Amino acid sequence: MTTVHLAFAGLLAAAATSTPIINWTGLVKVLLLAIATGVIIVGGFSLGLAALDVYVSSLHRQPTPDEHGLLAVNPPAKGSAVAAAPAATGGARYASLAVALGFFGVCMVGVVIGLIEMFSK
Amino acid sequence: MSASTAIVLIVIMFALTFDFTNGFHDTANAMATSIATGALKPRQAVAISGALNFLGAFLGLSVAATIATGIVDARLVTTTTVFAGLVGAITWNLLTWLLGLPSSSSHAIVGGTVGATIVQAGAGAVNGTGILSKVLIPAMASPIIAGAGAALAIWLSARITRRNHEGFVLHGYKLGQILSASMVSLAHGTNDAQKTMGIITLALIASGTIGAHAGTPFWVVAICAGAIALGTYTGGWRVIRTLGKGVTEISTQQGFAAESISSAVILGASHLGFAVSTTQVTSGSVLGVGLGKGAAVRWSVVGRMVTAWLITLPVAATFGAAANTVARGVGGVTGVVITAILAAGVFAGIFVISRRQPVTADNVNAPIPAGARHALAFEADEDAVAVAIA
Repeated sequence: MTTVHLAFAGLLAAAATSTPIINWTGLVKVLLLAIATGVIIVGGFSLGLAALDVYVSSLHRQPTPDEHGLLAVNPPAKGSAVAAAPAATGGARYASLAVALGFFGVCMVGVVIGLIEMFSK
Repeated sequence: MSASTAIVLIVIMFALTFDFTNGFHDTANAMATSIATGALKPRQAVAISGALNFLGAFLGLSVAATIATGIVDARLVTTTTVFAGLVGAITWNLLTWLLGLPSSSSHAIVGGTVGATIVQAGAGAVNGTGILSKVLIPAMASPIIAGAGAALAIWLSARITRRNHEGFVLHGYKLGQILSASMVSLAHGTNDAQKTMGIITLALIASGTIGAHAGTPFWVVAICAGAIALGTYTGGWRVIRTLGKGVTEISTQQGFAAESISSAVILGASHLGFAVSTTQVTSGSVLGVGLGKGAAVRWSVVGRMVTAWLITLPVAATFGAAANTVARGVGGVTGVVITAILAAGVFAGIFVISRRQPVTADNVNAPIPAGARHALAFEADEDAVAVAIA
Protein backbone atom coordinates (compact mmCIF):
# COMPACT_ATOMS: atom_id res chain seq x y z
CA MET A 1 0.00 0.00 0.00
CA THR A 2 1.46 3.38 -0.97
CA THR A 3 1.80 6.28 1.37
CA VAL A 4 -0.94 8.11 -0.49
CA HIS A 5 -3.29 5.18 0.03
CA LEU A 6 -2.43 5.26 3.72
CA ALA A 7 -3.33 8.93 3.84
CA PHE A 8 -6.74 8.39 2.40
CA ALA A 9 -7.30 5.43 4.69
CA GLY A 10 -6.51 7.85 7.50
CA LEU A 11 -8.98 10.34 6.15
CA LEU A 12 -11.71 7.76 5.87
CA ALA A 13 -11.01 6.51 9.36
CA ALA A 14 -11.29 10.03 10.66
CA ALA A 15 -14.58 10.44 8.82
CA ALA A 16 -15.96 7.30 10.38
CA THR A 17 -14.98 8.04 13.97
CA SER A 18 -15.36 11.78 14.45
CA THR A 19 -18.69 13.37 15.31
CA PRO A 20 -19.21 16.81 13.75
CA ILE A 21 -17.53 16.38 10.37
CA ILE A 22 -19.85 18.73 8.58
CA ASN A 23 -20.44 22.23 9.85
CA TRP A 24 -24.03 22.30 8.66
CA THR A 25 -24.71 25.67 10.26
CA GLY A 26 -21.82 27.24 8.39
CA LEU A 27 -22.81 25.67 5.07
CA VAL A 28 -26.43 26.78 5.50
CA LYS A 29 -25.21 30.30 6.25
CA VAL A 30 -23.18 30.32 3.02
CA LEU A 31 -26.20 28.99 1.09
CA LEU A 32 -28.46 31.65 2.58
CA LEU A 33 -25.88 34.27 1.72
CA ALA A 34 -25.82 33.07 -1.89
CA ILE A 35 -29.62 33.21 -2.08
CA ALA A 36 -29.74 36.63 -0.40
CA THR A 37 -27.15 37.91 -2.85
CA GLY A 38 -29.15 36.51 -5.75
CA VAL A 39 -32.29 38.26 -4.55
CA ILE A 40 -30.94 41.53 -3.15
CA ILE A 41 -27.91 42.33 -5.29
CA VAL A 42 -28.76 40.71 -8.62
CA GLY A 43 -32.52 41.20 -8.22
CA GLY A 44 -32.10 44.79 -7.01
CA PHE A 45 -29.73 45.66 -9.83
CA SER A 46 -32.09 44.05 -12.38
CA LEU A 47 -35.11 45.96 -11.04
CA GLY A 48 -33.11 49.18 -11.13
CA LEU A 49 -32.02 48.48 -14.69
CA ALA A 50 -35.57 47.63 -15.77
CA ALA A 51 -36.93 50.85 -14.23
CA LEU A 52 -34.12 52.88 -15.80
CA ASP A 53 -34.95 51.37 -19.18
CA VAL A 54 -38.56 52.50 -18.76
CA TYR A 55 -37.35 56.01 -17.93
CA VAL A 56 -34.94 56.19 -20.88
CA SER A 57 -37.60 54.82 -23.24
CA SER A 58 -40.04 57.48 -22.09
CA LEU A 59 -37.43 60.15 -22.84
CA HIS A 60 -37.22 58.88 -26.40
CA ARG A 61 -40.99 59.24 -26.71
CA GLN A 62 -41.07 62.74 -25.28
CA PRO A 63 -43.49 65.06 -27.15
CA THR A 64 -41.69 67.59 -29.38
CA PRO A 65 -43.20 70.63 -31.12
CA ASP A 66 -43.71 70.34 -34.91
CA GLU A 67 -43.25 73.14 -37.46
CA HIS A 68 -46.62 74.62 -36.45
CA GLY A 69 -45.68 74.60 -32.77
CA LEU A 70 -48.00 71.67 -32.01
CA LEU A 71 -46.82 68.91 -29.68
CA ALA A 72 -46.68 65.40 -31.06
CA VAL A 73 -45.40 62.23 -29.54
CA ASN A 74 -42.27 60.89 -31.28
CA PRO A 75 -43.32 57.53 -32.64
CA PRO A 76 -40.62 54.90 -32.49
CA ALA A 77 -39.23 53.71 -35.79
CA LYS A 78 -41.30 50.93 -37.27
CA GLY A 79 -39.92 47.55 -36.37
CA SER A 80 -37.48 48.93 -33.83
CA ALA A 81 -37.03 47.33 -30.46
CA VAL A 82 -38.36 50.49 -28.81
CA ALA A 83 -41.81 49.81 -30.25
CA ALA A 84 -42.31 46.86 -27.94
CA ALA A 85 -40.78 48.47 -24.89
CA PRO A 86 -42.65 49.57 -21.79
CA ALA A 87 -42.57 53.35 -21.50
CA ALA A 88 -43.82 55.82 -18.93
CA THR A 89 -45.15 59.32 -19.40
CA GLY A 90 -45.44 62.33 -17.11
CA GLY A 91 -45.30 61.50 -13.41
CA ALA A 92 -44.79 57.83 -14.11
CA ARG A 93 -41.57 58.73 -15.93
CA TYR A 94 -40.10 60.32 -12.84
CA ALA A 95 -41.48 57.54 -10.69
CA SER A 96 -39.57 55.04 -12.82
CA LEU A 97 -36.38 57.08 -12.37
CA ALA A 98 -36.95 57.17 -8.60
CA VAL A 99 -37.57 53.42 -8.57
CA ALA A 100 -34.38 52.85 -10.58
CA LEU A 101 -32.29 54.96 -8.23
CA GLY A 102 -33.95 53.31 -5.23
CA PHE A 103 -33.12 49.80 -6.38
CA PHE A 104 -29.58 50.70 -7.38
CA GLY A 105 -29.30 52.21 -3.90
CA VAL A 106 -30.57 49.00 -2.30
CA CYS A 107 -28.04 47.06 -4.34
CA MET A 108 -25.15 49.31 -3.30
CA VAL A 109 -26.20 49.37 0.35
CA GLY A 110 -26.36 45.55 0.25
CA VAL A 111 -22.80 45.39 -1.12
CA VAL A 112 -21.45 47.86 1.44
CA ILE A 113 -23.18 46.20 4.41
CA GLY A 114 -21.96 42.81 3.21
CA LEU A 115 -18.37 44.04 2.92
CA ILE A 116 -18.44 45.72 6.32
CA GLU A 117 -19.87 42.58 7.89
CA MET A 118 -17.30 40.35 6.17
CA PHE A 119 -14.28 42.38 7.18
CA SER A 120 -15.43 43.39 10.65
CA LYS A 121 -14.25 40.04 12.06
CA MET B 1 23.81 30.99 6.99
CA SER B 2 22.67 27.84 8.76
CA ALA B 3 21.16 24.89 6.88
CA SER B 4 17.84 25.53 8.59
CA THR B 5 17.73 29.15 7.43
CA ALA B 6 18.67 28.13 3.88
CA ILE B 7 15.79 25.66 3.74
CA VAL B 8 13.33 28.21 5.12
CA LEU B 9 14.43 30.69 2.43
CA ILE B 10 13.92 28.04 -0.28
CA VAL B 11 10.49 27.27 1.19
CA ILE B 12 9.53 30.95 1.11
CA MET B 13 10.72 31.19 -2.50
CA PHE B 14 8.61 28.19 -3.52
CA ALA B 15 5.66 29.44 -1.48
CA LEU B 16 5.76 32.70 -3.38
CA THR B 17 6.05 30.76 -6.64
CA PHE B 18 2.94 28.84 -5.62
CA ASP B 19 1.22 32.12 -4.80
CA PHE B 20 2.20 33.44 -8.23
CA THR B 21 0.81 30.35 -9.98
CA ASN B 22 -2.29 30.60 -7.80
CA GLY B 23 -2.78 34.16 -9.04
CA PHE B 24 -2.29 33.54 -12.73
CA HIS B 25 -4.14 30.21 -12.61
CA ASP B 26 -7.12 31.84 -10.89
CA THR B 27 -7.34 35.17 -12.75
CA ALA B 28 -10.00 33.35 -14.72
CA ASN B 29 -12.21 33.08 -11.65
CA ALA B 30 -12.71 36.81 -11.47
CA MET B 31 -12.26 37.99 -14.99
CA ALA B 32 -13.08 35.18 -17.44
CA THR B 33 -16.73 36.14 -17.86
CA SER B 34 -15.99 39.89 -18.05
CA ILE B 35 -13.37 39.27 -20.73
CA ALA B 36 -15.63 36.86 -22.62
CA THR B 37 -18.57 39.29 -22.68
CA GLY B 38 -16.37 42.26 -23.56
CA ALA B 39 -17.22 44.13 -20.35
CA LEU B 40 -13.49 44.63 -19.85
CA LYS B 41 -10.56 44.44 -22.23
CA PRO B 42 -8.21 41.56 -21.33
CA ARG B 43 -5.31 43.74 -20.17
CA GLN B 44 -7.63 46.07 -18.23
CA ALA B 45 -9.25 43.07 -16.57
CA VAL B 46 -6.00 41.54 -15.29
CA ALA B 47 -4.70 44.93 -14.10
CA ILE B 48 -7.87 45.59 -12.05
CA SER B 49 -7.88 42.02 -10.78
CA GLY B 50 -4.22 42.19 -9.75
CA ALA B 51 -4.73 45.43 -7.81
CA LEU B 52 -7.78 44.09 -5.98
CA ASN B 53 -6.09 40.78 -5.21
CA PHE B 54 -3.30 42.76 -3.60
CA LEU B 55 -5.80 44.72 -1.51
CA GLY B 56 -7.83 41.63 -0.61
CA ALA B 57 -4.76 39.86 0.72
CA PHE B 58 -4.60 42.32 3.60
CA LEU B 59 -8.21 41.75 4.68
CA GLY B 60 -8.80 39.06 7.31
CA LEU B 61 -6.73 36.01 8.26
CA SER B 62 -9.36 33.36 9.04
CA VAL B 63 -8.30 31.12 6.18
CA ALA B 64 -4.59 31.42 6.96
CA ALA B 65 -5.33 29.99 10.38
CA THR B 66 -7.28 27.11 8.80
CA ILE B 67 -4.48 26.11 6.45
CA ALA B 68 -1.73 26.43 9.04
CA THR B 69 -3.39 24.41 11.74
CA GLY B 70 -6.04 22.33 10.02
CA ILE B 71 -4.25 20.10 7.52
CA VAL B 72 -1.51 18.27 9.33
CA ASP B 73 -0.02 18.03 12.78
CA ALA B 74 2.31 21.04 12.75
CA ARG B 75 4.52 19.48 15.45
CA LEU B 76 5.50 16.62 13.12
CA VAL B 77 6.13 18.69 10.04
CA THR B 78 9.55 19.95 8.99
CA THR B 79 10.40 22.74 6.59
CA THR B 80 11.42 20.10 4.04
CA THR B 81 7.89 18.69 4.23
CA VAL B 82 6.38 22.09 3.57
CA PHE B 83 8.77 22.57 0.65
CA ALA B 84 7.85 19.21 -0.89
CA GLY B 85 4.15 20.00 -0.50
CA LEU B 86 4.66 23.22 -2.40
CA VAL B 87 6.50 21.40 -5.20
CA GLY B 88 3.51 19.05 -5.53
CA ALA B 89 1.03 21.92 -5.61
CA ILE B 90 2.97 24.04 -8.10
CA THR B 91 3.47 21.07 -10.43
CA TRP B 92 -0.28 20.35 -10.41
CA ASN B 93 -1.15 24.02 -10.93
CA LEU B 94 1.16 24.27 -13.93
CA LEU B 95 -0.07 21.02 -15.46
CA THR B 96 -3.72 22.08 -15.21
CA TRP B 97 -2.82 25.53 -16.55
CA LEU B 98 -1.13 23.85 -19.53
CA LEU B 99 -4.35 21.93 -20.18
CA GLY B 100 -6.47 25.04 -19.56
CA LEU B 101 -8.32 23.39 -16.71
CA PRO B 102 -9.64 25.58 -13.89
CA SER B 103 -8.72 23.23 -11.06
CA SER B 104 -8.41 24.13 -7.40
CA SER B 105 -5.16 25.60 -6.07
CA SER B 106 -6.58 25.01 -2.58
CA HIS B 107 -6.89 21.29 -3.17
CA ALA B 108 -3.46 21.25 -4.79
CA ILE B 109 -1.75 22.73 -1.74
CA VAL B 110 -3.72 20.49 0.61
CA GLY B 111 -2.85 17.43 -1.48
CA GLY B 112 0.83 18.34 -1.84
CA THR B 113 1.18 18.94 1.89
CA VAL B 114 -0.63 15.74 2.81
CA GLY B 115 1.54 13.63 0.46
CA ALA B 116 4.77 15.17 1.73
CA THR B 117 3.69 14.80 5.35
CA ILE B 118 2.91 11.12 4.98
CA VAL B 119 6.42 10.48 3.63
CA GLN B 120 7.82 12.52 6.50
CA ALA B 121 5.83 11.34 9.49
CA GLY B 122 3.30 8.75 8.40
CA ALA B 123 -0.44 8.92 7.89
CA GLY B 124 -0.99 9.65 11.58
CA ALA B 125 0.33 13.19 11.11
CA VAL B 126 -2.53 14.01 8.79
CA ASN B 127 -5.49 15.70 10.44
CA GLY B 128 -8.17 13.83 8.52
CA THR B 129 -11.08 15.33 10.40
CA GLY B 130 -9.74 18.84 9.90
CA ILE B 131 -9.28 18.31 6.17
CA LEU B 132 -12.73 16.84 5.76
CA SER B 133 -14.65 19.32 7.84
CA LYS B 134 -12.76 22.52 7.12
CA VAL B 135 -11.51 22.04 3.58
CA LEU B 136 -12.88 19.11 1.56
CA ILE B 137 -16.57 19.25 2.40
CA PRO B 138 -16.88 23.04 2.04
CA ALA B 139 -14.93 22.80 -1.21
CA MET B 140 -17.27 20.10 -2.52
CA ALA B 141 -20.42 21.88 -1.33
CA SER B 142 -19.39 25.35 -2.49
CA PRO B 143 -19.76 24.82 -6.27
CA ILE B 144 -23.18 23.28 -5.72
CA ILE B 145 -24.24 26.19 -3.49
CA ALA B 146 -22.81 28.71 -5.96
CA GLY B 147 -24.44 26.95 -8.91
CA ALA B 148 -27.84 26.93 -7.19
CA GLY B 149 -27.53 30.57 -6.15
CA ALA B 150 -26.42 31.59 -9.65
CA ALA B 151 -29.27 29.66 -11.31
CA LEU B 152 -31.76 31.40 -9.00
CA ALA B 153 -30.16 34.80 -9.65
CA ILE B 154 -30.20 34.50 -13.44
CA TRP B 155 -33.78 33.18 -13.42
CA LEU B 156 -34.90 36.12 -11.29
CA SER B 157 -32.90 38.60 -13.32
CA ALA B 158 -34.23 37.28 -16.64
CA ARG B 159 -37.83 37.40 -15.32
CA ILE B 160 -37.43 41.00 -14.18
CA THR B 161 -35.93 42.29 -17.43
CA ARG B 162 -37.86 40.15 -19.93
CA ARG B 163 -39.96 43.09 -21.17
CA ASN B 164 -37.10 45.54 -21.43
CA HIS B 165 -34.85 46.38 -24.35
CA GLU B 166 -32.23 43.72 -24.67
CA GLY B 167 -29.51 46.09 -25.85
CA PHE B 168 -30.05 48.54 -22.99
CA VAL B 169 -30.21 45.79 -20.38
CA LEU B 170 -27.10 43.99 -21.62
CA HIS B 171 -25.18 47.28 -21.67
CA GLY B 172 -26.32 47.95 -18.09
CA TYR B 173 -25.14 44.54 -16.98
CA LYS B 174 -21.83 45.17 -18.75
CA LEU B 175 -21.27 48.12 -16.39
CA GLY B 176 -22.47 45.99 -13.45
CA GLN B 177 -19.96 43.33 -14.41
CA ILE B 178 -17.06 45.70 -13.77
CA LEU B 179 -18.23 45.99 -10.17
CA SER B 180 -19.07 42.31 -9.73
CA ALA B 181 -15.78 41.14 -11.29
CA SER B 182 -13.91 43.51 -8.99
CA MET B 183 -15.70 41.95 -6.03
CA VAL B 184 -14.59 38.47 -7.08
CA SER B 185 -11.00 39.70 -7.39
CA LEU B 186 -11.16 41.19 -3.92
CA ALA B 187 -12.69 37.97 -2.60
CA HIS B 188 -9.98 35.93 -4.33
CA GLY B 189 -7.21 37.97 -2.71
CA THR B 190 -8.92 37.65 0.66
CA ASN B 191 -9.29 33.90 0.35
CA ASP B 192 -6.34 32.63 -1.69
CA ALA B 193 -3.38 34.80 -0.71
CA GLN B 194 -4.02 33.70 2.86
CA LYS B 195 -3.41 30.07 1.98
CA THR B 196 0.20 30.86 1.08
CA MET B 197 0.50 32.99 4.18
CA GLY B 198 -0.60 29.92 6.13
CA ILE B 199 2.01 27.74 4.43
CA ILE B 200 4.86 30.20 5.11
CA THR B 201 3.63 30.53 8.70
CA LEU B 202 3.70 26.74 8.97
CA ALA B 203 7.32 26.71 7.70
CA LEU B 204 8.31 29.43 10.17
CA ILE B 205 6.70 27.47 13.01
CA ALA B 206 8.37 24.24 11.87
CA SER B 207 11.80 25.92 11.78
CA GLY B 208 11.25 27.48 15.18
CA THR B 209 11.47 31.01 13.77
CA ILE B 210 8.13 31.86 15.36
CA GLY B 211 6.11 30.19 18.11
CA ALA B 212 3.52 27.48 17.44
CA HIS B 213 0.64 29.83 18.25
CA ALA B 214 2.10 32.97 16.72
CA GLY B 215 0.07 34.94 14.23
CA THR B 216 1.06 35.51 10.62
CA PRO B 217 3.83 38.18 10.51
CA PHE B 218 3.02 41.32 8.50
CA TRP B 219 5.94 40.88 6.12
CA VAL B 220 4.51 37.49 5.16
CA VAL B 221 1.17 39.13 4.37
CA ALA B 222 2.89 41.80 2.27
CA ILE B 223 5.03 39.49 0.12
CA CYS B 224 2.12 37.09 -0.42
CA ALA B 225 -0.10 39.98 -1.52
CA GLY B 226 2.58 41.07 -4.00
CA ALA B 227 3.12 37.58 -5.42
CA ILE B 228 -0.57 36.83 -6.00
CA ALA B 229 -1.15 40.26 -7.53
CA LEU B 230 1.79 39.82 -9.91
CA GLY B 231 0.58 36.35 -10.88
CA THR B 232 -2.91 37.67 -11.48
CA TYR B 233 -1.61 40.49 -13.66
CA THR B 234 0.36 38.00 -15.76
CA GLY B 235 -2.99 36.48 -16.73
CA GLY B 236 -3.56 32.76 -17.05
CA TRP B 237 -5.11 33.10 -20.50
CA ARG B 238 -5.48 29.34 -21.03
CA VAL B 239 -7.77 28.94 -18.03
CA ILE B 240 -9.56 32.23 -18.76
CA ARG B 241 -10.45 30.87 -22.21
CA THR B 242 -11.87 27.65 -20.78
CA LEU B 243 -14.00 29.34 -18.14
CA GLY B 244 -15.08 32.30 -20.26
CA LYS B 245 -15.71 30.59 -23.59
CA GLY B 246 -15.46 26.85 -23.03
CA VAL B 247 -18.20 25.96 -20.56
CA THR B 248 -21.00 27.99 -22.09
CA GLU B 249 -21.42 31.17 -24.13
CA ILE B 250 -22.58 33.70 -21.59
CA SER B 251 -24.14 37.14 -21.79
CA THR B 252 -23.30 40.14 -19.63
CA GLN B 253 -26.45 39.43 -17.61
CA GLN B 254 -25.25 35.90 -16.86
CA GLY B 255 -21.73 37.14 -16.16
CA PHE B 256 -23.00 39.69 -13.64
CA ALA B 257 -25.13 37.08 -11.87
CA ALA B 258 -22.31 34.51 -11.80
CA GLU B 259 -19.73 36.96 -10.47
CA SER B 260 -22.08 38.40 -7.82
CA ILE B 261 -22.90 34.96 -6.43
CA SER B 262 -19.26 33.84 -6.59
CA SER B 263 -18.03 36.81 -4.60
CA ALA B 264 -20.77 36.32 -1.98
CA VAL B 265 -19.96 32.63 -1.53
CA ILE B 266 -16.17 33.16 -1.43
CA LEU B 267 -16.36 36.10 0.98
CA GLY B 268 -18.99 34.36 3.13
CA ALA B 269 -16.97 31.16 3.33
CA SER B 270 -13.79 33.10 4.04
CA HIS B 271 -15.60 34.98 6.81
CA LEU B 272 -16.60 31.67 8.37
CA GLY B 273 -13.06 30.28 8.09
CA PHE B 274 -13.77 27.80 5.27
CA ALA B 275 -10.95 27.50 2.75
CA VAL B 276 -13.20 27.14 -0.28
CA SER B 277 -11.87 26.78 -3.78
CA THR B 278 -12.56 29.99 -5.67
CA THR B 279 -12.11 28.01 -8.88
CA GLN B 280 -14.87 25.58 -8.00
CA VAL B 281 -17.15 28.35 -6.76
CA THR B 282 -16.80 30.38 -9.96
CA SER B 283 -17.05 27.29 -12.16
CA GLY B 284 -20.23 26.30 -10.30
CA SER B 285 -21.65 29.80 -10.80
CA VAL B 286 -20.85 29.83 -14.52
CA LEU B 287 -22.49 26.43 -14.92
CA GLY B 288 -25.45 27.63 -12.81
CA VAL B 289 -26.11 30.69 -14.97
CA GLY B 290 -25.79 28.55 -18.09
CA LEU B 291 -28.31 26.00 -16.88
CA GLY B 292 -30.53 28.64 -15.25
CA LYS B 293 -31.03 30.38 -18.58
CA GLY B 294 -31.24 27.21 -20.62
CA ALA B 295 -28.00 27.95 -22.49
CA ALA B 296 -26.02 25.22 -24.22
CA VAL B 297 -23.33 23.78 -21.97
CA ARG B 298 -20.21 22.06 -23.35
CA TRP B 299 -20.41 18.97 -21.20
CA SER B 300 -17.13 17.61 -22.55
CA VAL B 301 -15.34 20.63 -21.05
CA VAL B 302 -17.31 20.32 -17.80
CA GLY B 303 -16.39 16.63 -17.67
CA ARG B 304 -12.67 17.41 -18.03
CA MET B 305 -12.95 20.03 -15.30
CA VAL B 306 -14.73 17.74 -12.86
CA THR B 307 -12.24 14.95 -13.56
CA ALA B 308 -9.42 17.36 -12.76
CA TRP B 309 -11.17 18.33 -9.53
CA LEU B 310 -11.54 14.70 -8.48
CA ILE B 311 -7.90 13.79 -9.08
CA THR B 312 -6.34 17.02 -7.80
CA LEU B 313 -5.85 15.89 -4.22
CA PRO B 314 -4.36 12.43 -4.89
CA VAL B 315 -2.17 13.56 -7.81
CA ALA B 316 -0.82 16.60 -5.96
CA ALA B 317 -0.27 14.32 -2.96
CA THR B 318 1.72 11.95 -5.17
CA PHE B 319 3.86 14.83 -6.51
CA GLY B 320 4.40 16.09 -2.96
CA ALA B 321 5.32 12.61 -1.75
CA ALA B 322 7.75 12.15 -4.64
CA ALA B 323 9.43 15.49 -3.96
CA ASN B 324 9.83 14.68 -0.28
CA THR B 325 11.15 11.21 -1.08
CA VAL B 326 13.93 12.75 -3.23
CA ALA B 327 14.69 15.49 -0.69
CA ARG B 328 14.87 13.04 2.21
CA GLY B 329 16.73 10.46 0.13
CA VAL B 330 19.61 12.87 -0.51
CA GLY B 331 19.16 14.48 2.87
CA GLY B 332 19.77 17.87 4.42
CA VAL B 333 19.95 21.14 2.61
CA THR B 334 21.59 19.41 -0.39
CA GLY B 335 18.48 17.26 -0.81
CA VAL B 336 16.23 20.30 -0.79
CA VAL B 337 18.43 22.15 -3.28
CA ILE B 338 18.59 19.17 -5.67
CA THR B 339 14.82 18.70 -5.44
CA ALA B 340 14.32 22.42 -6.07
CA ILE B 341 16.52 22.26 -9.19
CA LEU B 342 14.68 19.19 -10.50
CA ALA B 343 11.33 20.87 -9.82
CA ALA B 344 12.43 24.06 -11.56
CA GLY B 345 13.35 21.93 -14.59
CA VAL B 346 9.88 20.39 -14.64
CA PHE B 347 8.24 23.82 -14.34
CA ALA B 348 10.36 25.16 -17.21
CA GLY B 349 9.49 22.10 -19.33
CA ILE B 350 5.77 22.71 -18.83
CA PHE B 351 6.22 26.35 -19.81
CA VAL B 352 8.12 25.39 -22.97
CA ILE B 353 5.38 22.94 -23.97
CA SER B 354 2.76 25.66 -23.45
CA ARG B 355 4.54 27.84 -26.05
CA ARG B 356 3.65 25.37 -28.78
CA GLN B 357 0.04 26.56 -28.62
CA PRO B 358 0.13 29.94 -26.89
CA VAL B 359 -3.04 31.54 -25.58
CA THR B 360 -2.64 35.27 -25.08
CA ALA B 361 -4.71 38.40 -24.49
CA ASP B 362 -5.02 38.65 -28.29
CA ASN B 363 -6.60 35.26 -28.98
CA VAL B 364 -8.28 34.43 -25.66
CA ASN B 365 -11.71 35.32 -27.04
CA ALA B 366 -11.31 33.64 -30.42
CA PRO B 367 -14.28 31.39 -31.26
CA ILE B 368 -14.07 27.74 -30.25
CA PRO B 369 -14.70 25.50 -33.29
CA ALA B 370 -17.97 23.59 -33.23
CA GLY B 371 -17.48 20.08 -31.90
CA ALA B 372 -14.12 20.86 -30.30
CA ARG B 373 -13.39 18.57 -27.37
CA HIS B 374 -11.57 21.18 -25.34
CA ALA B 375 -11.56 24.95 -24.98
CA LEU B 376 -7.98 25.43 -26.21
CA ALA B 377 -8.96 24.55 -29.78
CA PHE B 378 -8.84 27.38 -32.33
CA GLU B 379 -10.31 27.75 -35.81
CA ALA B 380 -6.80 27.76 -37.26
CA ASP B 381 -6.16 24.37 -35.66
CA GLU B 382 -9.14 22.91 -37.49
CA ASP B 383 -7.92 24.44 -40.76
CA ALA B 384 -4.46 23.07 -40.19
CA VAL B 385 -5.88 19.61 -39.58
CA ALA B 386 -7.95 19.86 -42.75
CA VAL B 387 -4.89 20.90 -44.76
CA ALA B 388 -2.86 18.09 -43.25
CA ILE B 389 -5.57 15.56 -44.13
CA ALA B 390 -5.82 16.95 -47.70
